[in-house]
This record gives sequence, C-alpha cells and structure tokens, in this order.
Amino acid sequence: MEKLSASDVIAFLRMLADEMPTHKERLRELDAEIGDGDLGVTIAIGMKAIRDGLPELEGDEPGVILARSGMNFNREAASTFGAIFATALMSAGKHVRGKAEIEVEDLPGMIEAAASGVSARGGARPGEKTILDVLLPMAETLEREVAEGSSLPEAARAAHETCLEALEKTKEMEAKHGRGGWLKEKSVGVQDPGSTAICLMVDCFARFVSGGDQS
Amino acid sequence: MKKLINDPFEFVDETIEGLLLAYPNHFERCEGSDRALKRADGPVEGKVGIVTGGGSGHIPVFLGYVGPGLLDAVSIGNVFSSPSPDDMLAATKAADSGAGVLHLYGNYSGDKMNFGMAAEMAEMEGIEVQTSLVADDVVSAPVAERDSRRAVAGLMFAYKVAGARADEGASLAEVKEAADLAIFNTRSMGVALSSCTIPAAGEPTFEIADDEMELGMGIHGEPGLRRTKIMSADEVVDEIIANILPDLPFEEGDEVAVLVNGLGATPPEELFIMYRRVVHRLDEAGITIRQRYIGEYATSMEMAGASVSLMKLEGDLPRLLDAPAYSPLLPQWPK
Repeated sequence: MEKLSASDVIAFLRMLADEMPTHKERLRELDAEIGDGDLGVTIAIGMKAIRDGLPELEGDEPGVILARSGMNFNREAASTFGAIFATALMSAGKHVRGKAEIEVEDLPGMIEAAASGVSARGGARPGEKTILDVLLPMAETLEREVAEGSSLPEAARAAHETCLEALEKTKEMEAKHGRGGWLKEKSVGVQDPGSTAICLMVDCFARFVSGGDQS
Repeated sequence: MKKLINDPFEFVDETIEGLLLAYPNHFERCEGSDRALKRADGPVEGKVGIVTGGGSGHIPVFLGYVGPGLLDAVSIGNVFSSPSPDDMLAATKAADSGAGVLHLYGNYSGDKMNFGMAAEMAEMEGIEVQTSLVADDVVSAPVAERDSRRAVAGLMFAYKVAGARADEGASLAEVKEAADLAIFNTRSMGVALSSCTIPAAGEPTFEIADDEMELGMGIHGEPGLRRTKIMSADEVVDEIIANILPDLPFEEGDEVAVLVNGLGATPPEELFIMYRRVVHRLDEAGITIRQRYIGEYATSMEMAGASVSLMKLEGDLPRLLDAPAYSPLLPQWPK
C-alpha cells in the first residue's frame, strides 16, 4: 500500500479498534505501577467509541476521519490520556486537511503536528516520560525515510522500530506529569504506559500498510 | 446537605430544563448537545460569535451572560467541572455566522484543555476561532505569573466589553483586542464566610468555623490568602483594596468600574455596606468610579461571601460598558 484513501483510514481504525483492547490487561498492569491503573480500560472504551463512530464518517476526508475519531475516543473515555490522544489525532488530521489521500511524505509532518499539539495541550517537554518521547524520535525517523525515498510500508516499519527503542529509553526517565509526576524517582525503571500504547498502535499501522500480514 | 433538589445527579439538567421553560424566547438548545445553549435569535448575521463555558454552580455565570449585547452561546459542565469538547464545539457552531468565534472563558486547566480541542475541531470545520482567557483573581498567583491566575467575578467585565464590541460589527481580531484590554485592566479579590456543597458530593467543599472567614478564596473554594477570625466589612474591604490597587496598579486620576459581587448566600445589604467602603477608599486614593455594579454576577451556589473587582477604564471600555445588553438573569446595565 502506497497511499491511504479515506476508506483505508477507516479500515485501519477498525483494525486498530479491534486489536488494542486485547492489550488491555498489559496496559492496566503497567499503568498501575506508576499511574492510576485506568489506561487499559480507557483504551478499551475509547477504541470501542472510535469503532462505533466509523460508519458516520464514511464519505469524509482522511484528516476529518482521524480528528473526529479522536473526539469520539475522548467523549467516551474522557481522561488525561483521552484528551492527549484526541489532541494527537486532531493535530495529525489537521495537518492533512483537504487531502483525499495520505501519502508517505505526509507522515513526518503528521507526527510532528501530533507532538506539538500534545505538548501545547498538556505542557509536556521531551524527556518527561510522556508520549512525546516516542512521537518526536518517530518524526525524525520518518523524515529520514522520506528523504531516502522509502515506501510507505518501509517507513512505517522503521517508525515502529524507532518507537520501540524510544519506549525502552522512557524507562530511565522520571515522570513529571499526571499521577506518575507525584511518584518522581519511583517512576524510574518502568516504561511509560502511554508510550507503550502508542507503540502498539504504530505496530498495527505498520502491519496494516504492509498488507495486513501478521507480525 | 440541605438543598431543594431531586436526584443530585440531575441537578444540572433539571436547572437547564427549568431555565428553558422560564425563558423560551431567550434561550435555545444548540444542535447536537444537551449541554449547550444559544441565543434564541442567534447566530446574528455578520456578527462575531462569542462562546463561553465552564462548570455549573455559578449562575449567572456562565449561561446567564448569553443574550443581545453579550454572548452568543455557552457550554455547560457538571457542577464545578469542565464541559466536554463536544458541547463546546456545538456551542461554537451555533454561534458562528461566518465572522468567526471568540472563545472567552476562565483560566482553568480542564476548560483550557477541552476548549483547545473544540477550537481545533471548529477550525477543521472551517470556523475561525480565537481565544481570550480571564484571569483576574490577584491572590491566586503573583503579578509576574498573571497567566496562571484563576478567573472570578471579573468575567463579567470581559463578557460585557467583548459582547458590546461584537455588537458594533467589529472583526474577530478587534473583539479579541477589546476582551483582552478588559481582562488586562481587571483585578479582583474575594472573601468566603461559609462553604458550598456540590450536590453530587453531598458534603461541604471545605470546613470553616462559624467565627472564621477566608480572605482571597476562589469561587470553587480554592485556598486564598489566609484564614482569619471574622473581620468587619470595612476591614475586609480595606484589605481587598490594599491588595488590588498596587497590582495593576490603579493610580490617582484613574477612572474605574467597580463590581461588588455576592457569592450566593450574602444578602444585598451587606454588599452595599461593602460598596460604601469601596467608595471611601477610592475617593482617598483619587480614583473616580464611573460605573458600579452591586449584586450577584458570579456565584458559588450557597457560599456566603463577596468579591470586589475593579476595571481601569481606558479607550473604548466606558462606551462598551454603557452599550445596551440584556439577559433575564442579570440586573440591568446601569448607565
């Protein structure tokens, strides 16, 4: 797959919404160590809201589908992660506003837009154990991949590898935001639960654009 | 808890229901939301829309400021908690006539996050949105950190000024400029004598002894300057004025508008006793009062207490304060 049409975006979100709730227990456990343990449930509820909202988005452009899906997630699963994740999808969607298809060249800008949206919304900076710490390295990787002329599946797989490496590095970071922020140095050693969820989503995306084959 | 309510979880929706039954020619629901209201005659063709919103429990803030010469639509949260981005988006769409929309609300983190999302969605849908945040409470942060101050009764000045400017046919940038000047020139401080109770919580928000008051407390019971034995009205006003004047600063020769606001359980008599002392103090400081508002403009349900707000009058502000405006929930705008 070299481009994502509106119906591709809907198909991807459906696959994502089916897959993410299967990681509910793992995310809950991670979040319980340094957060309030609600991330697994938040993702399960929010992803269901995304899935339920998809039929109404048939006919919209890809950017609008992403943005409205973010709103749908946060409506049913209102929470810090809900707001941050919704913001990421809205910012990424806004970046491709007016386009009928998403191409590989759009991806670095979309991830950068998501990162700056998240930063503006929640006030986080790099190195504070948030999803910014996986989004920013992925944006860099994607820029390089585009410059090297990689295909969409190649770029997506490279982004996923970067995401996993960056996720590993969040273990050493001290949380400054949310409930983890109160734990300070006790949060060191645990990988960021939100970033873990993002990596799982990117993995799903990479498989989707590679033709849906299993990882 | 001693309240005239039914199911505490129906508090907000039953309030809205009663309001719509009382003023069917003034308010209407916004399409697609049970928690957003608009002017029944809106949106006004060619006029910049103004949207506010926030937690319930502060009538006439927020919904009482919807009306001609004021705001176009409002999103309504649960008691003391932010409305959802969907409600804010519904209000934004209902307020837009094509001239753009100003989001004008209090500087609270939940509202900021949700209005931020609503603004992004509105922009996706082709509506131009600007934002102005009211942050008038002088004790909530030092003047150097004005951006992190919370909003209290000074919201009224921002609403009135922005609403009047939009009514004159000003552009979105001009309406925002007027709102920002009102916000910059406004300083407030309050005092709380007793707590309020959030219906769904059932217990008072904070404990305070019968013979105590808290100077500088916020309209949700946020900590203020200090807890003290009860002081006289004159002593309270003196302390409030002493905190407000140097903050802008207000200086000899300035003209101001004054708001003495009741928080819900304080009778008008006590507000006039306070206002009289405000006049004495400002006279001594050589500051002229051009407009005054005494009554309930931002409440905290059954909380007893009051606040004083001053807005320094510059440029268009006197004209905009005097412009006609109407809402059934507000006292008339005196000339």
